[in-house]
Amino acid sequence: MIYFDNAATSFPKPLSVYREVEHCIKNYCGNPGRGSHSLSRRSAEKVYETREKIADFFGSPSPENVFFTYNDTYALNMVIKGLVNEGDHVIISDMEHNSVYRPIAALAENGIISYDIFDTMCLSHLRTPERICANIRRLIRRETKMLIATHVSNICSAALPLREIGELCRAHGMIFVVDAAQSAGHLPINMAEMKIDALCAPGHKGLYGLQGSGFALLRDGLLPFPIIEGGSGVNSLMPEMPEVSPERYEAGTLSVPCIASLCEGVEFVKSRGIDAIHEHESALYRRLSDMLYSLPEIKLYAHNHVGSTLLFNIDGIPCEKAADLLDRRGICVRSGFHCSPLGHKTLGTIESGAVRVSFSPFNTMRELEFFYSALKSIICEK
Amino acid sequence: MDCIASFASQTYAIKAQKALSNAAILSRVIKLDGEKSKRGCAYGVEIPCSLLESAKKTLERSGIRVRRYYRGDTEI
Repeated sequence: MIYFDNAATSFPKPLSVYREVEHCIKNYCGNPGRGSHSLSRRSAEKVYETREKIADFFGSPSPENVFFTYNDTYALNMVIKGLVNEGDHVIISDMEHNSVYRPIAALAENGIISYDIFDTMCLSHLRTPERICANIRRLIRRETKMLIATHVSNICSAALPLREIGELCRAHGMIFVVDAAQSAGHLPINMAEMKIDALCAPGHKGLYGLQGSGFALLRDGLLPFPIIEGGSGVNSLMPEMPEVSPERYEAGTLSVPCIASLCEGVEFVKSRGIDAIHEHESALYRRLSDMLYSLPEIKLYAHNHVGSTLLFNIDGIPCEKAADLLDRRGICVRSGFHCSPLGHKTLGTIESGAVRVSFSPFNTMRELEFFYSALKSIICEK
Repeated sequence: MDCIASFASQTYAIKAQKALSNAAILSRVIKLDGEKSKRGCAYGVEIPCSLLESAKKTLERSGIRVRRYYRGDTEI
């Protein structure tokens, strides 16, 4: 089996991740923050170690500003809904996943906020950070509270210039929220240097944790209102959630095995080196892009952006059928709209959907050769 | 006798313990009781009273906010 659906969730995970999860479940999986006994303490220490690793990895000095969620969508919802107030205006990009688009659209539908969408110029050869920022600047109003941007699209490899957008947000007093679903573990991110106020990411994609892991990392002093309340292990006699992060945002029992897996996943990325990972995935991308470009029946989208994700269609074969034919040949890809209607509209694939290939450091050039042969046989049989 | 520094959460208590450990001050995260946990479950760090002053300086340098210090059950 060849797995090219790493943008959905990475597979396989590093061996160290499997080992740590087993070790955790067998040896120290107590309930962190819920007792003073040794098992609870060991769990809590592992959770804290993971906070430290994540904060350090993303350029934050404050491990306590990392709060864990079940996935990126939960993190984004908690940050967005915990920070906006009635009458606020929000700006989002035209490449946002539904994890941003839907909460924003729902808040607008309920009359709480208004929003605008900026043009990321993904298909334009005139695309520069300055021009993207100019597109944002045109949308800023006095009541604009927040800008939310995906770092890298989930349907192509287009990346947004976070540093420049961060500067712009800081200059206009806007909260800068970044969805790092497709970039965490693939590209360097430094919250302080990029002036990011809140970074949300899944644990189970480029950071190689288990599904069920995700987090948000807040800048010092940013305290969203908690939208989920419950047991937190501290101030238990009070009706309200604690005032401080992370316990303010972690109602209910944390998944220690998931968090432990994330701890090892981050360590894997650090030890392999994020530049080396990016270079490996980009080399795969370039090779596959060249292969597919040689086939006249293949239409590639936004392939001027090099990274880990490539989008295409086969002339005369619906994307779902193409993915099914690849699956029959032992290749896992994802077809359809990828929970990204804004992105597909931007790339011109909103009517058809498309086939997405996404890499991890475990993919090889040899797998690409197999994929290419499979694709050619599908085209021949059409 | 041991002294106790109390914190807003267990996360801060672990952070404090790590900072103290880096400064070669042995401490232990504990769950607080009695008057120290009036709002419900609360956490602190147990420190030898002989090292309290250097512990205070270490925590201050590390930017870790301490809620209260206790000697035994008495707030100091």
